[in-house]
Order: sequence, then structure tokens, then C-alpha cells
Amino acid sequence: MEATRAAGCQLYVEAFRALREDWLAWRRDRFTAQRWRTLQWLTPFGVVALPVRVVRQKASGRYFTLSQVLFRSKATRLLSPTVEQAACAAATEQNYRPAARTLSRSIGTRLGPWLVWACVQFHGARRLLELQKAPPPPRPPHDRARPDQ
Amino acid sequence: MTVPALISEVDSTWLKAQQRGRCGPVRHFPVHLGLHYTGRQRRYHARGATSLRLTHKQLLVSTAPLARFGRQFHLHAHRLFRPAFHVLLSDGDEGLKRLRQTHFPQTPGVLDRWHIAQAVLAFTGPNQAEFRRLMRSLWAADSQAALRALSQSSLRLQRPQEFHALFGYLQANRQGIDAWRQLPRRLRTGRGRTPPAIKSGSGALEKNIEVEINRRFKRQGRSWQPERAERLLQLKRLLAQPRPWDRWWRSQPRFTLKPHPP
Repeated sequence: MEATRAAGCQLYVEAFRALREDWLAWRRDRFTAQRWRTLQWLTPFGVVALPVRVVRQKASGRYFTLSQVLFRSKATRLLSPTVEQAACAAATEQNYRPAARTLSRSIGTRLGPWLVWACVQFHGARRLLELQKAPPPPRPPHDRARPDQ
Repeated sequence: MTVPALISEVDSTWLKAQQRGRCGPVRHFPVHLGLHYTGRQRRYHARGATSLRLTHKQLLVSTAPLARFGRQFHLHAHRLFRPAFHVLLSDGDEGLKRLRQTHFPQTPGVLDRWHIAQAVLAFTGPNQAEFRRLMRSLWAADSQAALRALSQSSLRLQRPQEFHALFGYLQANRQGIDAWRQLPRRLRTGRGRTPPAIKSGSGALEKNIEVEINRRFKRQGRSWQPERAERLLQLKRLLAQPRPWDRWWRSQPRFTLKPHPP
């Protein structure tokens, strides 16, 4: 089990590094690479020190990390998207505290209920926004026939 | 989808509102539920099994105001189904009646019989003979006869307040009581072991309230802010549909959002 977890962590790190290198290679005209940093991420395989590249935008001179660009859909800085999905699924079934406890047990690291709360609120708001901005269905025929509309 | 019958049920429940440092009375806010389905079928084919499954079940849950919810509920039905016959079941709530008049003016609205029985029970109390006498005309979906039976009740003078309450309830919901007879017979009666498509109660929705709302939102000490409850409700609805749930997590977000929305 430990070997599987270690291999999973290694796979995460390598995939993440490759993804970032590739991303930067395609945008070399707009960004310059500055330095590597690490970000502690909770994944289904446990805590992983992800390599994060700090980049600088040539036009504005601003610094930021690629996580800010690639993971706008994430609710928290700490959890991986897979764990956020699991957190949302667990919190819809019960309260935040037991959900966090269940997740902590499966991940192998202690997880606070506030993280689960943040995931539910963020992804719930995202879902609502998607529903509201979705193109409306065609109006029923008798609605069109109403004289006041 | 063209279907022979579409049954819509609508109801509301209340959630306790979150009030930090509360000094006044406890506040509540409504959650509205709407259910569309096209009939019932037996879940198991074993002899004696009574469990039923709703066909093409679609549930809509929201803390939005009733006017907005009604519009969504109507559009939901219109987008998914092309029914030959449509019926709406609800309790006698004023807001839900207005919802029917605004969004489903052509649809007959049937009053849930469990709620009628509860209203009659509040009047008759433990007097079973009187309860059965009053309910006889209500089971026959004859509001005129029910009002006549009520006016001849021996409890009228003993319980005047309850009498007026029941009289008002029956008077206000006459259309809903009589609507049962307008439904085609083939939809309200089963054949052999095939259950009828329409039943006279909104029990299907009441169970959904229990499963969707009460078990998660109404446990001891829980109180909610409407917008936060709404987010959790939408996630719960999404989780109940495995394919859209997977698709949702695979999709790229179309809109950017603050990491911690208020």
C-alpha cells in the first residue's frame, strides 16, 4: 500500500511538472520562467510537494504562479481537484465534520471541516452560476400567446 | 419527449434561518420542491411486492422566491415533456395555488387527499364516525356534498373555530377537490397488477422532501443561510445524477469565481 501511495505521489509530481513545462513552452513569448517553488497538496495518495513555477508576464511585469492560471476552478489552495470532488460528495451526504473525518481517513492526513465547507460553497456557487447563465429553453407556446408579454 | 400523462407535484418546506447572536424570534425561510413524472411502475415483479418506481422522474429544488421557482418549474416541464394530459398536485397552500394559476392555467390542480384528511381530522378530533361521514363525500370528490355534510355536523356548535377553519379550507379548495373527477379514468385506475399513473396524494413528493431536505438540512441544531443552502441543494441534485456529476467535474468552468464566495 505504501509503495502504491509513493508511486502515485511520484506520478502526480512528474505529471504536474510536465504539464507546467509544456504550458510555458507554448507561451514563451508572453511569459518568462523565474524559479521553482513547491506547493503542499492533499491528493488521494496523501500530501504531495508539487513543483510550481513562478512566471513573470512580459507585458505587465507581474509575477504569479501557474496554479493561479491553471486551477481557477479550484476552491482551495490545499486540496487537489479530486479531493475537492470527494469532499463535495461527502458533504452532501452528511455534515462537514463527519465528511472531513471520512476524507481524512481515506487520504491519511488530517483535514479540517472548513476546507470541506469551502469546497461545497465554491462548487455550489459555480453550479448555480452555470445554471443561471445557461441559455434558457424556448418559451412555451401559450406564453407567447399572452397579450401582456 | 411525448408522453400520455405528466404528473407534477409541488410543495414547500421550511428551513431554520441562521441568526448570529439572535435576540428575537426564530426565523425560517421556504424551500420549494417540484416533481415531474409520467407514471408509476412496479420496482420488483415478485408476487406481493408493493414497491413502485416513478417513471421519468425529474426533481427541482430551490430556495428561490416562489415566482421564480414557478417559472423554472414550468420551463422544466415544457423543455422535457410533451404531455397529452397534464395534472398538478399540491396541498391547499395559497402561494402554490397562485403558482398554478400563473404558470399552469390550463392544467387541472388536484388537492392532495392526505392534507384534506388532516384538515378534517383537526375538526373531528377522535370522533371516528364523524370523520368517516365527512370523508365519504371527499373521497367521492364532491365538494358540494362535503360542504353540505359539514354544515350538518353535530360538532359544529362544540368546535366553532375548527368548523370555520375547515369550512374555509374546503370552500377555498373546491376546484382542487372536484378536479379528481376530471381526470381520465384510465389514468386514475390501475389494471391488474399495473398501478395507476396518478394517485390522489402527493406522497411521492413528501418522501422526496424527507430524503432531500429533512435528512440533511433539518437535523438537530442546524440552521442555514438561504444562498448557502441553495448551493448545497444544487450539489446534492447534481450528485444524484451520476453522469452529469462526472461530466461536471470533467468540464472546464466557463466563469471565474472568487475562491470563497460569501
